[in-house]
Amino acid sequence: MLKLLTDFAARSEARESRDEAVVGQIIAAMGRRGFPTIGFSTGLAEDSGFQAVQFATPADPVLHTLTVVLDRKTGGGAIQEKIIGSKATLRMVAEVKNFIADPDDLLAMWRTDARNILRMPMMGQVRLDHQLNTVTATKQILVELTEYDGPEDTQRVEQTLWALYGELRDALVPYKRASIVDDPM
Amino acid sequence: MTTTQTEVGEARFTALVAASWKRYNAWEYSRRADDVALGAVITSYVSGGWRLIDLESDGTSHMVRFQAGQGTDRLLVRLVALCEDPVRAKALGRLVEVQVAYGLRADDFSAIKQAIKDELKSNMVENASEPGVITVDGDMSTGYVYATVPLILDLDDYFDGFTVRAPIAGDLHVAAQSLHKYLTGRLAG
Repeated sequence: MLKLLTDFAARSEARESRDEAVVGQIIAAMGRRGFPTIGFSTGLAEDSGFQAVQFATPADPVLHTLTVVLDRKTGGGAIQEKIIGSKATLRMVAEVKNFIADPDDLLAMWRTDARNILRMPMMGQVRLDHQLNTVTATKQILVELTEYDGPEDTQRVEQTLWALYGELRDALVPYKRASIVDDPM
Repeated sequence: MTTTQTEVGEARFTALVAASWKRYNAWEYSRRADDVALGAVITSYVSGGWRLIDLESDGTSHMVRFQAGQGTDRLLVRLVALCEDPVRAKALGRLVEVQVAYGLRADDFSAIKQAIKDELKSNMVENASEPGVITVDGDMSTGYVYATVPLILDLDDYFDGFTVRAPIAGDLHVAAQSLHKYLTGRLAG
């Protein structure tokens, strides 16, 4: 009887932890690439499907940080997972930080910032956002968690991450300025 | 003001901002050392075939739980940053309190019941949270029995900024091995 109950609990746990398993795969893929984690946010108790992880990008001279947000939308229950699957949004935010102090450069950056602040320019499906010394590029896609949560899905996880990373990085390259200090991240 | 005076002033301003960034970044490194360690632990275990099944974090207190890829054994790591302030970190090191717990699935109800009883008893003992003291707990809902040990680690032993000096997961692994041995012995009676 105990075995029956614990087997049921184990199946239920495996289904509920699918998003954590995908986050684990994402962190491992980033770690292998040389991008260490520098921040975690696992959301509020009532929104247990939300998980955000921030990475430093020391191997990348353009980017300052990368943030990956996985927000589970469906598939917490057995019936729901069977009918509509385990869907989640995967959002990546790439950040360029410009360490500048020359008043002329700061003025030029402020002008670009003021011009873009109400425009929210879109490049394809990439959203650019200017905030003083920071420019971010964001892209969000919908993923089926069952296709990303196992050890056999490592390659798919990496392909998805590097495709997003490449697209966001390309959008941000024009905004990177020569810095007065080394980017610590 | 002459052009030269303006240029000298701007150069000094740039130097002040650059120095400020360096001081600010030292603070950032200190604040994020525990996050770097947590990511390194996850990367190591997931790359080794374990599945991440739980992740909780409020920024300074983190908890991760893994399940063995081939099997049912579980590993829980709780990590609490003790020295995020760079002054404390400089004086004491980048200390973190780490709880390592190894879990075995027990099909015998009495083993889980006994583990819960043991846990209740150990809660009344003052030294149960001292380093190296192993406590046992049971989880009735999932049928697991866990052996837990608290440790205090210095992250400077494992990381130099973002660079890995020695793998922290290696030390967690030896702790888990000892817990596994202890727990197997306890469950065997």
